Formats: sequence, structure tokens, C-alpha cells
Amino acid sequence: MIIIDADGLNVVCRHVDCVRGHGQAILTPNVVEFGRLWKCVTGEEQPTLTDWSEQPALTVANLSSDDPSSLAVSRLARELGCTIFLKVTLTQGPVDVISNGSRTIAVGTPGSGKRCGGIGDILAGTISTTVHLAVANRVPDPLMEACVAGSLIVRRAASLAFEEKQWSLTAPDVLDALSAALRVLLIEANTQSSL
Amino acid sequence: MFCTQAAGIPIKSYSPEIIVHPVLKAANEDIDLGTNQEVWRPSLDAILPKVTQWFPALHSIIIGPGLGRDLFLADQLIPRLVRKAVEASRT
Repeated sequence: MIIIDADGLNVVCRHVDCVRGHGQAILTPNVVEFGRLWKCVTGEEQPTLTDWSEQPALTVANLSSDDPSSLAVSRLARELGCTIFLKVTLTQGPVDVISNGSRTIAVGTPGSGKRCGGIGDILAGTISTTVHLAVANRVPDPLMEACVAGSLIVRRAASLAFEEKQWSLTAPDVLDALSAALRVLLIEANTQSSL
Repeated sequence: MFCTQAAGIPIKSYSPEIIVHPVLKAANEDIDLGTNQEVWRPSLDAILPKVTQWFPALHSIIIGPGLGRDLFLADQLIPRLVRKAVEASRT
């Protein structure tokens, strides 16, 4: 399994053929990196993305095919033949959009109130673990499931770390909260399934 | 973790538990980029197997965080490594 993030995405922009059609790669761009990839792959100017501030709050939801972010992310996923995970930014609203070209999922559970450098790296690392577990355990649609799981775990960890550190939050605080986040999510999942 | 020679010691010093392979090279270390393939080809041939030999031991590979925009890495080494990683995860 291969996850391409950060400056690795600039390499993909310059050498699109090295991942095109691969199927097994996950790309994790933020909005700026997504715009750059979009331009390299489609040759078009910036894509239109959803303004989440005008949308009702969501936790995890399948996005309808006429949602602007869904259109853009699924098209890039189809053209590259990869799974695309468009990461949150404050300006675009707090929702991750994940697509493999045929299915698009949005994750909008609470995260950190503060952005800081390195959370994206933690996300890439978390997905590298969840994707291996998903594939090894023969979970259906493993790349999509791994991305959703990674998003939920890192968001919860960021939320827990932010409760404690507030505006002093840095990426290592999120890293330290990963284990607690996973525990809370598992307890919630078990509670829901036993109801 | 695979990184350039210069990054190896700082990374290992901050996080001694990480297994660090400082086998990559950047243009600003000792590779003259030039347009002549003969200049960088030997470096590629020497570096690539030092990374790919570990692929069978890995569950997943992340490419990008901390990579930087060095031209030898971005245009020569990493695209080839991505292709190798892609081939390896198909099997």
C-alpha cells in the first residue's frame, strides 16, 4: 500500500504517470495541494469546492454526486485511478472529503479548533496503519474504509488534545492523544452495536 | 524511515526508536544535477536498491512528509521509487 502526502504530491504533479491507474495509492492533499494536482491532471483552473459553512453539520455521510466537492474529488480520483483524501482547512470548512471515483464520503466530526503543522503527517501515518489492517482483514473497499477510519481517529485525537492544550496545541499533542482517541471510538462503537 | 544522509543524524537524535536508513541523496549534497544523464544515473542505480530491498518487509509506504523539493529527489529519485512502490504493492 502506498500513501502520497505533502511534497510527494508535488512529485506526482510533475510525474503524473507514476501513479496514474495504480488503484492502490492513496493521495492526501490539502486544498492547496488539491488545486495544484487538479491543474496538473485536468489542465483546468481551480475546481469549485463545497462551502461547508452553508451546509448542515455532518459526522460521516455519503456525498451526493452533485455536491461540488464530491464532483471535484471523485473526478480527480477517476482521472488518476487513485483514492483521494481531501483534507480539511479552516477556510474551506471542517470536512474531509474522500473518494475513489465511484463513492464519495464526507467526514465532519469535531477536530481541533486550532490548525498546526504536522497534523497532516499524523493523518498519513494513521492511514498507513489502517489501510494495512483493512487489507489484511479483507475489509470490503479497504482503501475507503481506511481513509474514513484515519480521519475519525485523527479528528478525535485532535479534539481531545485541543480540550487540554487549547491554543498551545502542537502536532506532538495530537500524536499523544491517538491512543485515547482510538479507545473512545471503540467504546462508542461497542455501545452503539449493543443498543 | 528513509531519508537523506544529512537528515539521518538529526532524526535519529530526536527519535532514537525510529529505524532510520539515511540512504537518499539530495542535489545539494553531492550530486551534480546537470542535464547529462550520465552524471546522476550512477547515483540512482546505487540508491534505488538500498530502498527497494526493504519493500518486502514493509506493510505500507508513505511518500512525501519531510521530503522537501530538492530537484534530484523530486524529478529523478522519487518518481522512480513511486513506480517501484506501486509495482511492489500490486504483488
